[in-house]
Amino acid sequence: MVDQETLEPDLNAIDAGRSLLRRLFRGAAPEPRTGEAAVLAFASGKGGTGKSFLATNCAIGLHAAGKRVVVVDCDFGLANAHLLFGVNPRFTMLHLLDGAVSAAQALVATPHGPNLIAGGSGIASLAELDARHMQVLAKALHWLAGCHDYVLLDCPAGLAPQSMITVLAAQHAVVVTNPEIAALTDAYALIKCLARQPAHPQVQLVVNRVTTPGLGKATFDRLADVSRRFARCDIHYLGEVPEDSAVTHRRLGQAPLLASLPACPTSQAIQSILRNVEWQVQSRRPTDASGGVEARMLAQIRRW
Amino acid sequence: MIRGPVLPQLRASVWARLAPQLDALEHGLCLVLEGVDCSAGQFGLVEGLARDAMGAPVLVLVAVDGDGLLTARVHAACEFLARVGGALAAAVPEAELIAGAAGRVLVVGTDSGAAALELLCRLPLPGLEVCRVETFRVAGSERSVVRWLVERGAAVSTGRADRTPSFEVPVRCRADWDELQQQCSRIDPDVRWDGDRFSQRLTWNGRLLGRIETNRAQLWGHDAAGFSLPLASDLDRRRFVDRMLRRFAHLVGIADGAAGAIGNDMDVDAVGGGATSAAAADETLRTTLSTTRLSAEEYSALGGPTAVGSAEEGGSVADDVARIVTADQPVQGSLSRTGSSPPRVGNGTHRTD
Repeated sequence: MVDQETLEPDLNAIDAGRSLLRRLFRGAAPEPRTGEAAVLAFASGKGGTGKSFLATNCAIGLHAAGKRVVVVDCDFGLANAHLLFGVNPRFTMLHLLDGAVSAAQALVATPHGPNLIAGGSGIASLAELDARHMQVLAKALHWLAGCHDYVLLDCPAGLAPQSMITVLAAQHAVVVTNPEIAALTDAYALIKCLARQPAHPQVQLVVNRVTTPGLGKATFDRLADVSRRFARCDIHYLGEVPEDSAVTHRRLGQAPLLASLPACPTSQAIQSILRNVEWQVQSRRPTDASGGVEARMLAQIRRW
Repeated sequence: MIRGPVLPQLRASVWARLAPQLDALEHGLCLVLEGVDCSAGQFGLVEGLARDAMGAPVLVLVAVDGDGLLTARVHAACEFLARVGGALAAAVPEAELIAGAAGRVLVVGTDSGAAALELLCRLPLPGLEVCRVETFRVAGSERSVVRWLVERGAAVSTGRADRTPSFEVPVRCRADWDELQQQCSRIDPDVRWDGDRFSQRLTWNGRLLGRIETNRAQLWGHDAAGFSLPLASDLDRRRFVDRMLRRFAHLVGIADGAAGAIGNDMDVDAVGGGATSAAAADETLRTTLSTTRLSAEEYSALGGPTAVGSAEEGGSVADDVARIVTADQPVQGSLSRTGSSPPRVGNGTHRTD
């Protein structure tokens, strides 16, 4: 948990009208913005590569930079972003997809700044999600994209169609991998599947749990070469995150790393990644023809 | 179209060839039970009870020459349907028939039953339909066409193979069907409809654009890539016509690859959205996922178990990792997996993070 003195200046810098207390206790919906948010999907082929860790910490970093951020935990049924944020939401994705609550009602303001749509724990598996559920999610994302600057989708690992639909709805797919062969192969499999789709997001790569500086770049170079040669897909390097025992040994209830240890090497690496993310988002913003996150997701649902 | 030989032999052998392919006679015709006794054992068994695409019962008989009881069996079948056809839905629940749907008697013959079929064509029996399966060989393989001789109890005048029963549309879908035909006719003057009672193909100069099928009193649209959707609303119909139009544009060459892709409405990566994506233009998401495989060359390039590159050329990432890890600590877990079998891509597995 971060004390208020740490966060208050940042919040004031964003908008004096939006105070932490208001967000926490009134649960007011974010104000609408002009244009659509940047939608980033954190994805991986293999599980356990650090998608949720990266998504939550990136959200905190972007919030600290003055952006309105929401994390949508799309890891249906096996969600844990709310644990990393240290919140216990009353409504989750389960309620949202069932139509019991609106996206505004399911939105939770975390104590660290970003908003969160928590993943449901009542959905047994992705196989139980049908097109109707995905359409509800598409509408919810459209609303969220209309009142935030960044929408970060914490996607499930693997290549299930529901997972792919979520990734393909984003403008940027941040593929998180580790410098070991199993994660690398699965990351390439994901990239190849994305590249085979008629319309796919920009693919960015983050190499997590790097034991030696520079190994992340070497990993990226290899993967980028294979992707270009075989999948004919260009990928972009966002950066590497070092292996850090402070991350692996964190306890439940502890604040996310970027909020609690902003000066540690891992936090610095995430800040560096965030700068690259912002550069990519600014320089590669899609044209209006993209139709927005809802249109992109509905297009994929039609292809399901 | 029935592929494979339909041999002019006895009833049993002809039926054995036909039974698994009833759908080729008429779209949606599905065999439910074999051996129906309609005459209290007097004239033998009717070959099978089938269900058509509208959920109506169809008694299927095979005609072969020299079968002296065929006419009597057909009579008995027609009478049986007239007497108890309306109650079959309740009496044979496993057939999943729609209660009240009018039944038919379908007699199928081959070259071996020409005389018998000719005789049946003269019978004024309501609900009787007669068709003849004619086989021929093309490039060494046997093909067949279906000629309808009697349709709805009345003999078809020409008896030509291109004379097929008119498309049957559920009553509540007729307006949608008319509208759909009009919209598709505006795609191009050379667009044609053809098919059987419960299935219609939409083609342009012989090339398939899509299909419309009746299934359980509902119209379904299928595009050339296999994508299906029920045509239950104006929106569904427009969506289907849009797919037909895109397919047409793709065939004509107006739209190439990704530009003609269905739902392709966002920027694609400069390289990644190019030729690779074009291959997926007509594919569904599931298709692209299930057909994506990693080749041995890709594994090799990634540094997998089939790696063939030399260490002097820089080796693979796995080699880099191995060098670094072994320098720091004993090799563990992840690297030992390089010997495992390659993971299958697109199997829809869900792993946790």
